[in-house]
Amino acid sequence: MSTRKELSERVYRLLLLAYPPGLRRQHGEEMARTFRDLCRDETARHRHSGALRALASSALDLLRTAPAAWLDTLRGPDLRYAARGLGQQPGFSLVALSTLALGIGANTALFSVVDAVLIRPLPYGDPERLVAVFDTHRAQGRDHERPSPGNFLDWQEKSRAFESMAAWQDGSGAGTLRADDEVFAIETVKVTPDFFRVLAVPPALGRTFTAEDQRGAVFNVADRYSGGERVLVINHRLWKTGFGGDPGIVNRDIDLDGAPWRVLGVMPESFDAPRETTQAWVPWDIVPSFPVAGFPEGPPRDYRFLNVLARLKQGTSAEQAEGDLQTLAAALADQYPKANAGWSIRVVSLQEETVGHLRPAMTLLAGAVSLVLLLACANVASLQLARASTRRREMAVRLALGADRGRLMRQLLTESLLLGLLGGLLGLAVAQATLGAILAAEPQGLPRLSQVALDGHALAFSLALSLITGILFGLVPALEASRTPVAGALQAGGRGATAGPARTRARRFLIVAEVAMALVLLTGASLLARSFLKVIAVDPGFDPRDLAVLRVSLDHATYKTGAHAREFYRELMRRLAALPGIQAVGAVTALPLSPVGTDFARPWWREGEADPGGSAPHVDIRMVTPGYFDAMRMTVRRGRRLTEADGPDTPRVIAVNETLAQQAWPGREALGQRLMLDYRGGAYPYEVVGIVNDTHFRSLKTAPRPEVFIPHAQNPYLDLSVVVRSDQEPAALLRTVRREIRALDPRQPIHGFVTMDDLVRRSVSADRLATVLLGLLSGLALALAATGIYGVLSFLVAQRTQEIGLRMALGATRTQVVRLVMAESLRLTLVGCGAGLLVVLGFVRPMGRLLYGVGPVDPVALGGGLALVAAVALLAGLQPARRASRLDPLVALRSD
Amino acid sequence: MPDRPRRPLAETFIPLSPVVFDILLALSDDERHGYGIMQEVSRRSDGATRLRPGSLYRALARLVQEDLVEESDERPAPDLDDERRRYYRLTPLGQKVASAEARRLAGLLRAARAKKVLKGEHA
Repeated sequence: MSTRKELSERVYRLLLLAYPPGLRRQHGEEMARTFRDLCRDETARHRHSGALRALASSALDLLRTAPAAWLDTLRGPDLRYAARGLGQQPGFSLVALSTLALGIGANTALFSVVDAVLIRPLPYGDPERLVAVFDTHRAQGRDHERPSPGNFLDWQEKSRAFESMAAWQDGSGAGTLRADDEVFAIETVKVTPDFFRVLAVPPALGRTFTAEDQRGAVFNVADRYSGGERVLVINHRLWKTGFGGDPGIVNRDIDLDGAPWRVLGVMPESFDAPRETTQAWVPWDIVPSFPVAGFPEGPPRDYRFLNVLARLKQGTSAEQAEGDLQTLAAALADQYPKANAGWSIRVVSLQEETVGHLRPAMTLLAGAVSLVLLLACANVASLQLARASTRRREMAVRLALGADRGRLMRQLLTESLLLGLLGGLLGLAVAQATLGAILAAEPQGLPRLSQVALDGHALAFSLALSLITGILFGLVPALEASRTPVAGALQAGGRGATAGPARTRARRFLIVAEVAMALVLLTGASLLARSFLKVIAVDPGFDPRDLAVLRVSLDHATYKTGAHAREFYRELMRRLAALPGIQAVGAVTALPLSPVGTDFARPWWREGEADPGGSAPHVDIRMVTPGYFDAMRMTVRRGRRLTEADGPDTPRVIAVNETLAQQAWPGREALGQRLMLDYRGGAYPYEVVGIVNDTHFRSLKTAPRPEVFIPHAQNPYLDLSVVVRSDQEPAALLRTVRREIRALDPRQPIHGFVTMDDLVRRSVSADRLATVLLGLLSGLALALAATGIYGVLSFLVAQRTQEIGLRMALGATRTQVVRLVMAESLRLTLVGCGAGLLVVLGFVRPMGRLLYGVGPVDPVALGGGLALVAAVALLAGLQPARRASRLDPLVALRSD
Repeated sequence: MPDRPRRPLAETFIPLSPVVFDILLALSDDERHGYGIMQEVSRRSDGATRLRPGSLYRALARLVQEDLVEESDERPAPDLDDERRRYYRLTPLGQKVASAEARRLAGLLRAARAKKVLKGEHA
């Protein structure tokens, strides 16, 4: 029995180590003794389990009280003393707190953006096992192409690396939903049977598709549903806005494109696949779909337009899966050389695919904002050092009176931690304001932006940051104070003629570091700014001013044949062009810089040449109405416009852009030549009747790609982007256009109304945001560095008062004194600039990836940054230098 | 140099946490060692409140620091064994704080009675 008690006591003594040393020293022995008493009494009550009971209850108690006891060590007299210390020097506290608030606030704001956009796992089951699959063609420089349906079916059947695999089709486009007399354009996506199983997200309501639902779900050539049961799954927002969150929605029929569709389920709010804008999913049976869609031989292998998602088997890596698929792809290339020669496969984690492209910019900003925090810490540390030197005497007195050095150190650290925490608290307000500004800028291309908020993660981050900064800028002054030699400090009365080499070295180091960090940030910011100016100076190839854009989606049920769509758009163009105040109007399947549109590329070759098969280059294909080029103010370089005369019964004609003309007939006249396009189930020749200027389609930064423009009348599409050139105010224009469309057909929805200027602005909003943020950060850094330099130099001058007085007494002139101080400042600035330059050169490669039209070693940016930092550093030193030169030698020599 | 803060008024400690009030009550009539406090608290609450060494000594450490409780001496406890134990007693400030808290609780109890919140024997 007694051994059990002894064992428990030994364990309890070990557990006591969890308490702070102070408490242990004072009460540890008593606690163990009390535990022994408890053990004895418990054993008397429960013969066998007494010791264990005592240990269990005491251990539980320890779990609760140990953290609290650690917190206690920060409370009490230390905290009171710290608070009083800060209150007594409001100037110091104000400067230190606002510096920290800016540093911590900026970091917290950026952290919450990075966390929501980049770090947080995708909202699907086991997201780390999700991958996206792409086709690659090394010889054609393609590494990110969509796979073809034919190949996808083979992978699905033969690959052993995946638990499940699914495909969805982009641009299945908008459907027209009618609910309670309202007409919505909703974005639907066709998905193969395993789509929801791959993502592993259960519905919020009802169910998702089964293989049964999918069977025979067939879409014909006009992308019209022509077989199978009509069922769909809707997203949370559509359920709320379209159906008022009706819990009875499951199994109800809703009116989509004029036909009844049964709702099987509602996905949860967080589900945003494949895009945040997707509102409904419809089942898609690939195999039987293609024969009805103009591919009598079944799913094609050379039409690459599928998006493929897959879930890796447990324990299989993306690399293994890639190897597996590459073996398959090689076999398929041998088997179907025309479609697959040269094509291979890349497997990318879905997280990387979704947000990976943002990493460089985000890393840059995160680096910049950490530099600002380091600067803030350096400034507060230097403030603390200055303050510590005025408190040396106080510390020495307390040490002489027998205060414990450890306790003094703890007190100073408590003070820093208090400063850090208060700064962090104020920083939250700064972060909130910064986040508000970032979100208000609505940067395009940042996914999951709606989830950015000061949430638990951000709060934890800022708390950790506050504590770390508190320790970072508090440690040096605390260590130094604890080393204060009692006798020396008391005797000299703080008169130590100079502050001792170690301390002034620390201060000089701070200046060098601040100059270097400011230079790094400033150079980065001016590089980004110059790059941004280059981007917005790019001529997009059209005139975005006075241009309004909207998307019209005709439903498949009403507009059964191409002729119907052709007639609708011809009439719409005619009516709009006749309106007063409208100068030009046109329509196109996909508009430059716009996120909506039917954007695809097809293989081409010159007429008379053999079909090059899988190696054929691709061209982007757009259908346009006759007024499109004029409405966009694009220039027809040679040949003619596409006109009303180019109709279904006249020869196939196209306009091509200069890039294609150059690529297809280098050094020759493209006009009048005939281009073979393998498009819509067969290759036909198209005669080039016009050559138009290039446009920047994907973004201003990407080079123009080859483009072909086909008259819409010869190849009608249901969904077009309409562009209207008018000097009318956009809201009024929208009303007019809507009235005209209603007059034509009141049941067709229009959506996505926006001005072309806005589209251009939005397309560069992420660049603009990065530029503005880095600009602000570098401004902040410069201001911090300037105040830091000013503070340190003032302090150094004050420390050298006697020496300067002596020099002046010995005949030094004011100019010489100014020169003395300025020389010091100049030396430190130069060293700092040198160090900063080395850092800048070290980051040339990652920086280069973010720039457009500017090299990372841009002399203007570097020279400008150097000049500005040097000027500011010298200016900051001017005032202390002048003060030194105005010293009265008599006063200076006597000074304390 | 005002290193030591001015002696605070008893009211600034109010309200007390239950553990602290239990300890002050246990010490109000006699000085006791740690285990004695645990026993007294348990006895008075009919076993409902059972302090454990961690809670007890964390609270005691603060009470000593805040000058509500002081250590008297170390001596063997006659009812236990021969080992020496540290004894604690209330300071005058501790006594004031204990009665201030008791007054606060009595006030609350009066209010509860007036509102007829209590039923049965306490009413």
